[in-house]
Amino acid sequence: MPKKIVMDGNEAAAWGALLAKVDVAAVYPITPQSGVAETVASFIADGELKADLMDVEGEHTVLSVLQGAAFAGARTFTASCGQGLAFMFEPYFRSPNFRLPIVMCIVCRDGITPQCVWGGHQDAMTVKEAGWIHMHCENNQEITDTVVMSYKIAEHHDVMLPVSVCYDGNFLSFAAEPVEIVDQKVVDKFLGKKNINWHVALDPERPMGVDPLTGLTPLGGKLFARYRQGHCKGMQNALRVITDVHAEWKKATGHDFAPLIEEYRMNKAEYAIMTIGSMTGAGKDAVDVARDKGKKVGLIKIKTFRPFPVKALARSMSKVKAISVVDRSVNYGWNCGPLCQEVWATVPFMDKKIPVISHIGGLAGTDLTIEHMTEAIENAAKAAKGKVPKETIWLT
Amino acid sequence: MEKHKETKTKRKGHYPMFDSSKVPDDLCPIATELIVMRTGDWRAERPIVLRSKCVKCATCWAFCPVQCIHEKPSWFEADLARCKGCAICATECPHHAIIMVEEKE
Repeated sequence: MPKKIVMDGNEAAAWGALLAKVDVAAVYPITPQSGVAETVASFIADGELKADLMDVEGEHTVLSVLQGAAFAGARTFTASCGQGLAFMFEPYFRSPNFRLPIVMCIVCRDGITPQCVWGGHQDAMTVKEAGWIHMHCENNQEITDTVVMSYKIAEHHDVMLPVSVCYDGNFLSFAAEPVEIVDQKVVDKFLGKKNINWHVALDPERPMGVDPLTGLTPLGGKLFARYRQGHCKGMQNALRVITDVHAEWKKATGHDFAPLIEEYRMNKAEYAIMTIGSMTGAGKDAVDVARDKGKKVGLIKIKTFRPFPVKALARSMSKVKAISVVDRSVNYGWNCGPLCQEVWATVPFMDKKIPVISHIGGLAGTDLTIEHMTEAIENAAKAAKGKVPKETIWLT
Repeated sequence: MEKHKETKTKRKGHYPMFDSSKVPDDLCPIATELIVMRTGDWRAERPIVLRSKCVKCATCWAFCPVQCIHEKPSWFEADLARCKGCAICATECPHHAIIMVEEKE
């Protein structure tokens, strides 16, 4: 029988790892992620989770340990954020190249300096090109479910890539919500038998050479490029697998989460706002308020950020005449938000060009309120009538 | 903590290699094919041993970081397939018997 437990986002992430029956968890605490490390440790200490917990000396080691564990065939879990993720970067971009199905949570925290320990997507957005699958969650139920689903996505033989389940530090990590915990038997049946090191193994009984020196020579260069192409192919396969796994999860549990993008009140909408992560709650409320006033506005939520769902998004964006994108992080190179940059890049895939306006707000743990979202809606309404702002709008 | 199962040895001697026949060739970097990398290809300068000056003291042999110095009847010589041309041998030679000459394509 499914049970409902009130828990914060960090506990929800740890519950996902418990349901997936991970074999190895390596952790190093950092605000606002520490709750994940503590909860996983308590599950193991209480005997609920039969796993090895390695509390190592830093994040670089955390992911290196998990690489070794995945080579040996273990289901692995960790979580980090902010400066910890920065310290983890070297093994972070190696894990996907090894095609290891590691699952970790990024409890999104804004980048320092200036000094700050609060939420913001800057850490996850900075490592978006490392070759991991990135999925952003809206609420605690979605965190638990996405962690479980991530194992199925990561371990799919057409994908074989690590997954980062990103959720807002503070806003979700410390906010308590009721989470329905699915029956263990349902999860066991859903995930099936694990087969993690079929392609690359650390196993004395079937020795192999891993990570040979490539590049430089024409033949070595071709080999390097072939692995890169294979990685890109795996990422594109992931779009299909993510969709399939979400549908399967819905069938098994009744929990319905949009796999790539979610459309909210997009029926007959003339303009829309686009959100990512926990701010979507305020966005949906603002859309409801505007709809009550007769404004034809909708909302598009991005769940899967890497691989970017270009086709699905282009199809969805074609329904409206203008879009306001709200980002909780900064893209320094384009003077806009990172999500907005991706949406700008999606516009050429649409039948006709529409204006996309960049909004940045909610940095360093500040709230993105219904008023902020209403401002974004109003800017989209103006843009739909031809008055397009040229600069990024800061919601502070 | 659960006690790990000890790896049981099924066979003595060499184990069969990992069977990679079912692994797509673009999935991940595993050693399924041999690519010979000659570090000698990286060299910009080659060491030349002046045989009249060489006294076989073996200083070059001891200092070579890639251990590519080989013994000859009355002198020492670098294996040019592996020598990267770092010139440590030429610098260390107490009799100045090794000179570095630019590699030309």
